[in-house]
Amino acid sequence: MKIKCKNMTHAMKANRILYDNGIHSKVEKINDDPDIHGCVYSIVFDDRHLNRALEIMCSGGVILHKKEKINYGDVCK
Amino acid sequence: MIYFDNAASSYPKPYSVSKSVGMWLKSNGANPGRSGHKPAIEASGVIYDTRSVICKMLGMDEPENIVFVPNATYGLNFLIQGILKSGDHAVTTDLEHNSVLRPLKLLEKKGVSFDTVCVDLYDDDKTVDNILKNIKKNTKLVICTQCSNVCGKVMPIQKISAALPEGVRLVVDGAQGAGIIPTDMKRDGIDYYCAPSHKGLMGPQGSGFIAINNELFEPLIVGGTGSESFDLNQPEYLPDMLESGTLPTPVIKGMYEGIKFILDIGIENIYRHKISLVKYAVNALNGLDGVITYVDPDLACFASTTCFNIIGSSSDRVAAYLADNDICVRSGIHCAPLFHKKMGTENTGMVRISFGCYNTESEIDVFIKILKKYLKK
Repeated sequence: MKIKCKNMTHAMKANRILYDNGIHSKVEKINDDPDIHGCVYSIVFDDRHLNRALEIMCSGGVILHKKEKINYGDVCK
Repeated sequence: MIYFDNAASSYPKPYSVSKSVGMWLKSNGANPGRSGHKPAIEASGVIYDTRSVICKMLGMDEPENIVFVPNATYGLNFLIQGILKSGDHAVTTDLEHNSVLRPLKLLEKKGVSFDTVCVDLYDDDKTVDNILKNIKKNTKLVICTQCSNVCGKVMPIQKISAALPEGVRLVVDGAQGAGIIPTDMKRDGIDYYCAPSHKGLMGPQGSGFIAINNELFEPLIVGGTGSESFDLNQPEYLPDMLESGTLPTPVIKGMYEGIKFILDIGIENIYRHKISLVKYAVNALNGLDGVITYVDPDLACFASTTCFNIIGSSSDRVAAYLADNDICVRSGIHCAPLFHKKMGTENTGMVRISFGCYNTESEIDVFIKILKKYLKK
């Protein structure tokens, strides 16, 4: 699962709080989205953690990239 | 060598600081937040973890609200010039450094007004009253040092913030307080706080931060942030909004280790140590004929730093003699002109001795012995 974050700081924030909650993840620069230019980063983790990871990230104040609002707009800011 | 110039820059640094900076320079030169390769992601991790450890130190929850700046002077300029606009008014104190006074003076030309209030070194309630008496309808900011860089007076930040009317924001200059005075932004009611890496935080020179606990303000510097690159407007979210250009990752790595070092010791313990060294030094100085001290640490809280003069000698001459004897102190005005006017030392300056967490009472004993030799001359 790959979720785009607002900026590098939020991607790192996601990485650290997921780690604190026992979910391994990594930060990756987006390089496969033709609509995204500049330095946008995503948080990557195993699909099976999706619901829990989203809950952890959102309650931890991670802000997702505007493009992710379509997918997770109701969950995260 | 005895180093009593920690208010200018702390020395020595913990081994973990110098080791980590050296290791980082050898092993990673990447730019944080710009590329996607492993060293760049690691560099971004260093930056984020330093934001987090600053949050921990200040009782904050949001690492993105920590903005790195080159030093505390830049931080204060960002805040003062970013927040105050034509028609606004600010209140500050006569203990402030020129890094507060000069930006305010500069803004006077742009229609900002300010008042400087007298700090009563021994009556905090009177100081708070003096501040409140100067609050006007258009007062937007109160800017206050956390600890004087000359006499070491610890300011009653919590009392000041509690007394301020709604809408008046408090900027605290933590240049001499960070890593020395236990601080909690929320408990203490601080809206904006800034500090350098290289003083009480035990890190290298070359970086500092602003901690933001209130509204955002206009950036003074804009440019590349890595994010939103096609938009010619600066991003309006933190930290990107206020953090343009490449960050000094090796310095920030050193700051991280410095803060970890002081958190491991405990800021409460450092605070107690530095208060007790000031008391010990002032008592010892008071025992010497011909020495003038300027504060009574039994009557109020003075931490880390104190100052003195020798009758008939310029502060520069005394500092030079001490330097010849391998004791590092600082003489002169210490960029705090209003404090010297307040104490009547604008012509002589003062000799400032400022302690770090490694200093000891026995070093003060050696210093006193050398001062006695000077007095005999």
